[in-house]
Amino acid sequence: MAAVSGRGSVFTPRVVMLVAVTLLVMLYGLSAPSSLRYSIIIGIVMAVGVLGNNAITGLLGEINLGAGAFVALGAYTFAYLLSQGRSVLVAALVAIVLSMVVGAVLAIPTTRLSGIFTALVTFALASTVHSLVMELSRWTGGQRGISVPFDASILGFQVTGSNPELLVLVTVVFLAAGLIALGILRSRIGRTLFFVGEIPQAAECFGVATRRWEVGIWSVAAGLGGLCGCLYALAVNYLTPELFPFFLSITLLVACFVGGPRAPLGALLGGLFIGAVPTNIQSIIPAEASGMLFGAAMFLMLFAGGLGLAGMLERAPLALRRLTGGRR
Amino acid sequence: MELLASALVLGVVSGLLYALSGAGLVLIYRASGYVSFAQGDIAAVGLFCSYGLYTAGVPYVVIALVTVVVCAVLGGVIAVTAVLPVEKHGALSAAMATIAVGIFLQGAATATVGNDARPFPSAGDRTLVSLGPVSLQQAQVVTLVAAALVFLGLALAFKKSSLGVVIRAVNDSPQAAHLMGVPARRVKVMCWVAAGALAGLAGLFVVPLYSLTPTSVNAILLFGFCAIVIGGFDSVAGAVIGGIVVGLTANLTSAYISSGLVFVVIYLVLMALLLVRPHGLLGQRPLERV
Repeated sequence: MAAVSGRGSVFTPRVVMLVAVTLLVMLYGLSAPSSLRYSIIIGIVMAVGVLGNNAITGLLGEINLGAGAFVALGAYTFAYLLSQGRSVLVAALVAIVLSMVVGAVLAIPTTRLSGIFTALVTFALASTVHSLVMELSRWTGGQRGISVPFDASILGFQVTGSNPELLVLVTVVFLAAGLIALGILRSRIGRTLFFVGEIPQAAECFGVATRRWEVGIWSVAAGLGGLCGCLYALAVNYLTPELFPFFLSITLLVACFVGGPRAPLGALLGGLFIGAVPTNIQSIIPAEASGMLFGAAMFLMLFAGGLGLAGMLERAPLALRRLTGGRR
Repeated sequence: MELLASALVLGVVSGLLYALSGAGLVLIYRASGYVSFAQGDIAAVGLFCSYGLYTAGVPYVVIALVTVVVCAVLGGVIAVTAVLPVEKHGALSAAMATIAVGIFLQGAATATVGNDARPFPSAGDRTLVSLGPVSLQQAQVVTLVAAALVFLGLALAFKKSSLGVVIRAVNDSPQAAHLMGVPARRVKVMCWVAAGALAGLAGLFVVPLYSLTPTSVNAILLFGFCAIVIGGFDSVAGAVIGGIVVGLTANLTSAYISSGLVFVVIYLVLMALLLVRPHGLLGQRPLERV
């Protein structure tokens, strides 16, 4: 249990590894040419959304196939508020809160289901995104799209496109979210969350309001999805319905299983995999066929047991010790 | 009034089509306890194979047969190579493996044949039946007959034959089935083969409406899912009722509200229904042991 909850002796290595890898990725991105930096920005932006979605997969053991809906909600709310002259921080805050509220409202019926049924209902949710964006053209611009100002800035730093400032911003945001997640998992709240996710009936017998916690987790996941949408809007500068296809939700799930659903580091690795890899290997696999790569990677990870890259990294010392005949 | 009549009739026809695509999912669910997200992509691969024959001028009956056979074989291959090996990590992992297989197939299709929309022949567009203001074309009549035959066959197989009992036993009480000498693996593969064939069949009826691209057949998958979630996974009758509910909702929405909102309205109906009956209209509440 300690190994998954990240308490006790694994807590410090986890924090160190997360900070080290994230900073390394940032430094690499800062020194890279702007097209490569842009793909790393997109990767870390996706990692924020994946981190949220992982809360649902890792803690509750449910599958959310509708994560793209909250990314789109966050992105469009953010872009609309910016176009109304609000500041970046206010727009982002409103977008996140709106995503959390919508997430909680949708979670109330969704958490009544479990297993494959949750996956199916969220699958239906993901398919509504495109038509909603087209239908609400008053706010989203419909097929025409909506632009995000190129000079959007926080404290004087211009955080758009492939600017190094945006890379620093997304890194800070992801690191903050990841460290908070690790801290929460280690705390009393984290223990309750694991209790609710692993043995809901027992948790209920001990007087834990399981439904309320589940809705809370969905709401936080939606909020992180909204945050991911805001950062995404800053990076791409122009939102069109094509940016939020049905496939986006699937990709976020691919990232979850490739990176590993139970560690913030996994969110980073998964996010980079879906965000940064396809554009950089276009000469080998065309971008529109990246489904082949995603499908193969996701399948291999599932076949290997569903721990993901981060889970494997974390268990590597343990496996090594066992191989060399030492005691666990 | 005419609008209402045609929306109702077309709703029932397309509803049966959705139920048909849901039937394969019910089959897999009954034997394995999860559903396949790759049904649409299996159908797409089969349809692309037979599209090559269509451009070579092969008659429709052969095209249809080839599609169904290719899809059945592909379903079996996927079950053996990809899905059943992952089952040891849990039903949900296996369901995720079907997603992985689905996007792999979709990517492979895009890489080989591209995203261009291709017209696919239907089973015939002669007007066969006229019901007042509504007329049914040959393709729709074929859909209705095929769907009715499939549902009748499935219902009989599940309820009357020992095969149906075996399929239910494999998932409901695997240990008892094992002790009785049921070859669980073979039964599951068989269900995947049958579900693949059903996916191909449903794809044949759907794709003339949308034209053929690597993703166009996935639309049936979504409607099929909604149909069986609404109807309840347990029964074929549920799939039929659920399919008709989805078909009517979709057609009435596009007739009276907006065709762009079909998915949204279906999602809302799905949510509302699940709030009242979390296990579907005909589904039974599973007993939980604490």
